[in-house]
Amino acid sequence: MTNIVYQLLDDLSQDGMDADHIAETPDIQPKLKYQPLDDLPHDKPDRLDAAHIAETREVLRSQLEAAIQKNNDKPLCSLILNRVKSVKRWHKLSADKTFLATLKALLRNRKRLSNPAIRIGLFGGLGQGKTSALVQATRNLTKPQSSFCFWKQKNAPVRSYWFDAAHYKADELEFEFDRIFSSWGMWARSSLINVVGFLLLLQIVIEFAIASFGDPKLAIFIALRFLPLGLVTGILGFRFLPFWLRDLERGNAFVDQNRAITRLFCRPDIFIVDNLDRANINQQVAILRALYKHSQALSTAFIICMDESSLLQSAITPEHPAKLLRKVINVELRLPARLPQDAPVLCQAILSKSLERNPKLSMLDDPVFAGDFATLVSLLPEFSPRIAKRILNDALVDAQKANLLNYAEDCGALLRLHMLYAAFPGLQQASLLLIRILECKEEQEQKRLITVLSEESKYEQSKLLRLINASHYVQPLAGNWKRLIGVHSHHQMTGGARALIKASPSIENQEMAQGLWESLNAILQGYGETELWKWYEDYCKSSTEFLPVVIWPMLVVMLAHSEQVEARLRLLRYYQKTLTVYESKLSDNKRHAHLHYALLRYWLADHQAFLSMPEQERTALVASIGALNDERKVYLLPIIDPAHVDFATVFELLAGHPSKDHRVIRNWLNQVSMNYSIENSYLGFDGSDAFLAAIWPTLPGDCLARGWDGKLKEQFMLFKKLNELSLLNSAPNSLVSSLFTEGNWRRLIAHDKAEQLLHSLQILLNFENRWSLKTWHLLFSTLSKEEKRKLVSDLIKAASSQKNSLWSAALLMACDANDEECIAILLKSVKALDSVGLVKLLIDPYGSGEYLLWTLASGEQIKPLLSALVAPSKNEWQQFKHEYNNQLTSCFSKCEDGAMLLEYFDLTIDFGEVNGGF
Amino acid sequence: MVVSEFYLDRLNLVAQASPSFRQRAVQTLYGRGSTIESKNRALRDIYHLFKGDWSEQLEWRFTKINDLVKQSDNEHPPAQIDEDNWSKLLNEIDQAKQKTYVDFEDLKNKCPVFHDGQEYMDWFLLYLPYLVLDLQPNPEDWKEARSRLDWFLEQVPVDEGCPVEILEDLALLHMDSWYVLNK
Repeated sequence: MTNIVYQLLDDLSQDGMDADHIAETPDIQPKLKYQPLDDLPHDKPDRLDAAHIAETREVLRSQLEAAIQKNNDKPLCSLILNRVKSVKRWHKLSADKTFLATLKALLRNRKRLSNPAIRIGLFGGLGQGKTSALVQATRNLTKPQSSFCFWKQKNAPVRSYWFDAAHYKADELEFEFDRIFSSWGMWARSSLINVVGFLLLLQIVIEFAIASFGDPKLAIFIALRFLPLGLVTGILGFRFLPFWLRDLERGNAFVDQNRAITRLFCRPDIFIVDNLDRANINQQVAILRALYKHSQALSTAFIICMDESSLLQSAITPEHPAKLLRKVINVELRLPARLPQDAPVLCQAILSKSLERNPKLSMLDDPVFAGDFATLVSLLPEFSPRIAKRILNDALVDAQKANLLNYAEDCGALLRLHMLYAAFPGLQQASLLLIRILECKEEQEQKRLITVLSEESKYEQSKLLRLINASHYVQPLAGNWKRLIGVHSHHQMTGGARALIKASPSIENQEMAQGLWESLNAILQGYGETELWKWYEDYCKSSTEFLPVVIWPMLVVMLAHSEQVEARLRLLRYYQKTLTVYESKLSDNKRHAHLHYALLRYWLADHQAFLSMPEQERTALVASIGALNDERKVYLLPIIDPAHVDFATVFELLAGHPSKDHRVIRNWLNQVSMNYSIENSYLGFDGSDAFLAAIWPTLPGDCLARGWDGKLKEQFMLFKKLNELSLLNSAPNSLVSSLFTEGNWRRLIAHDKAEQLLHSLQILLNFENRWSLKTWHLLFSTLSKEEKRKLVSDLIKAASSQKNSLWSAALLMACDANDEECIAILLKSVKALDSVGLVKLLIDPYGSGEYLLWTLASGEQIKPLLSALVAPSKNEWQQFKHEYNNQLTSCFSKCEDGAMLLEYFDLTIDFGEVNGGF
Repeated sequence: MVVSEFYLDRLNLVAQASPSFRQRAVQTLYGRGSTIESKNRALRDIYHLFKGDWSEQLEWRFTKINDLVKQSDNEHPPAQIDEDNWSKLLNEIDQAKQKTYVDFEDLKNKCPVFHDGQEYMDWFLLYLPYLVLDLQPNPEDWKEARSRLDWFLEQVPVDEGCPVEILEDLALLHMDSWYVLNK
């Protein structure tokens, strides 16, 4: 069955993709599987498994007693224990009597013997773990029984009856509820009815036989012969009732009636009404009233599990729900609100449970992932075991689909995604915007986008901003969120989760976790460092898992929740120190390296903390990148902000070369991509793109080509920076295409955004290969002649104070637009052509005929334009002259006084063939 | 012969330049062209560029090379033209004169004896213009041209390196081109 489910998941995940393509893709790594946790209530009590209950009975009793001694104010424990005591008396009574005598005594003395019924209300939000808590509380309760009781086994459990309101149809709920009680209330009557009914049936059969055969003896004989047969057939019929009759069976509740007969003699000690909030308000009220009524007649403890909020909000008259609850509920228990510090324990428990099921999934054991998980869960406004498990399930199923189960960071990123979805359920519909927000590095732009999203989807803006900022450090490979969101939107896994009460083996108990949290908090506040060392001394000796598994997730959660920069920095420094001190004690070196990496990742991502550090310390921190392995380094790249960290240094470290040569870094990136099978599509098209993709991953991506203003801004900033550092010496394809494709320029021209256009043009013009034919071809081919003309006139208007290169660009465009007037103006403005590349473009346009420039310009005008090129870089010019001799001659020949140019630039004349024919 | 426009453009450009540039530029013109006609034309153009009186003359009979150099030219070079360059040109023209025959009959009479196919082929390609020299593009003259071609092909020595078919094709191509361009 499970296999079928997996198959289904796989099928669904591949739905809509090219099946052949998948079949051909070689599996680089074996595909890991994740088995999702189920939503079944944890260890549903099996009332027949008496042996198991007997085994755990003593343990629980002692635990309960201990708990009561410790917490006298905890009502649930004491009440249950009281019940246990009262049940003891009940059994004492029945000790030396026969079944019937006991029954009689019970009937006679029921009211006298029983305690007054107790009605306990267990309240809590959806998925907070009410049922699980209850299951755990009741499963191990057994009746203390000293003597033999023939219809009950020794060490019989406390009987509990679960009435799950969610199991009944709306129109049957009240009826069923009443029927259960009436069967207990009128057990004698119902038995009598059963006997009378049987006799009547017999009589009918006999009467019928007499009428048929005439002979009473024969009729009785035949009736008696056939009656058992009919009964057997009937019973078998019940057993193997066809499926389509289920509804009928359910409606008549035959099965329940049968059980009710058994239960006649086994009235429950605890009656549990679960999921009452699933019924409608009127039914809730009716059931509460019925409970109140029946509890007067029965000596049973009632436990009502519900989320009372909707009931309280309703306006039921004449009795207000609050009053009704006050009347019905004797004791109110409420599941405590969860605090951030509960998250590490809960998540650790869930992870260890998950690891039990998926022992091969080492990623679950990774402190990086554990930390991310705990932080993300703790960030949710109201987290619960169910939601935590669901997030984990969803994220890991997605990860399995994308074959990312090996990568803790990617799984973490998926967790982040699902955390956001859990907090803002409509986000799936706005995934495109979400990608932009997650990938955006510029704070202002991010804020703007969040405002847009909040307005669109009516989310609380500050809440969304906080969630995104606090989990900022969780990033996927190359910051590529598109891939992850793509996986998700393809198939949404709605795996549920149930509460996990069992603590992880690494965290011995809640108390210890609480203590640790407090100690860490003390450090965060700036005091009590020594206290924690005590913990370390105790625990690090016993377990090497202490630092990675217990402390790290707590630390990350605390960091994510602390607003003060200094406090965060203090904590980060402290953990770094701890790692150094316990280096020798951590025998598992791999994990230790993971921890260093996890710390570094958080630290670098926390820009505020990073900036508040002294320069020296900052340099040291950045230097520690060098010690990581290559794969980890690539993950760090998108986290590093070029505005805060000296990129040149970072790249030196990354490439492991004391060189600022971008080629070394490119080679390194290529190497890494090959070693770790990072898809080439990530790393763009050429070297510069590969380089960019690693730093600013979304840049070469298609989202840029969509022409988002914010993206362009981001891009400009980055290029400027990189250009200043001389790390990119050529304009990458992605820049050119993002500027020029999809009508970006056209759009800018249409919206009169000449300034922005100039800005982008200037960035392009900063690159050495700014005059590459490829670049300008891309530009020119996307614009029409009219658009080019408009662009040129805009440039002329705006370019008065601009650099000469801008004038040159305008000239080139004017030539391409065939605009005589502009060419004439620009010939006066352009002082000199600054690059041989530009001359190449001007003399050798791609197949559009020679430019008007040469016809319009005189030799005297052309000479100064080119003279700058001849003087300083003679070699380049000579090479160019040699290569483009003929084109230059052709162009000069069109100029007025072209011969002077020929002489001045000393061109070789190629006369071609003398003969025009053959 | 129809002179190429590209060639004329370049010459026009060079003609406007200074004598020193002209001297440098024309160096590539020596020996230009594969036939005696274009070689002579190039020499004529160099001569006029040096003299500074170059004009875009489209029709020029290549046999006129014999009358190109005036008596006075041998005495002193034109103004601002290097003496070496000038004497080199005169030398080239002198050599060209020797290779140039007055008309087809003259060529026929002075036809040398060929030792191998390669030698014949070089000669054939050089004197290809004589196929149509003094003829007009009309059917009668075409017959005449054809008969001249037949004479040419008769001279082909027996040699594997010189296939008659190819020579014939080349010649016909030349004749076609002349016929079409001059009509």
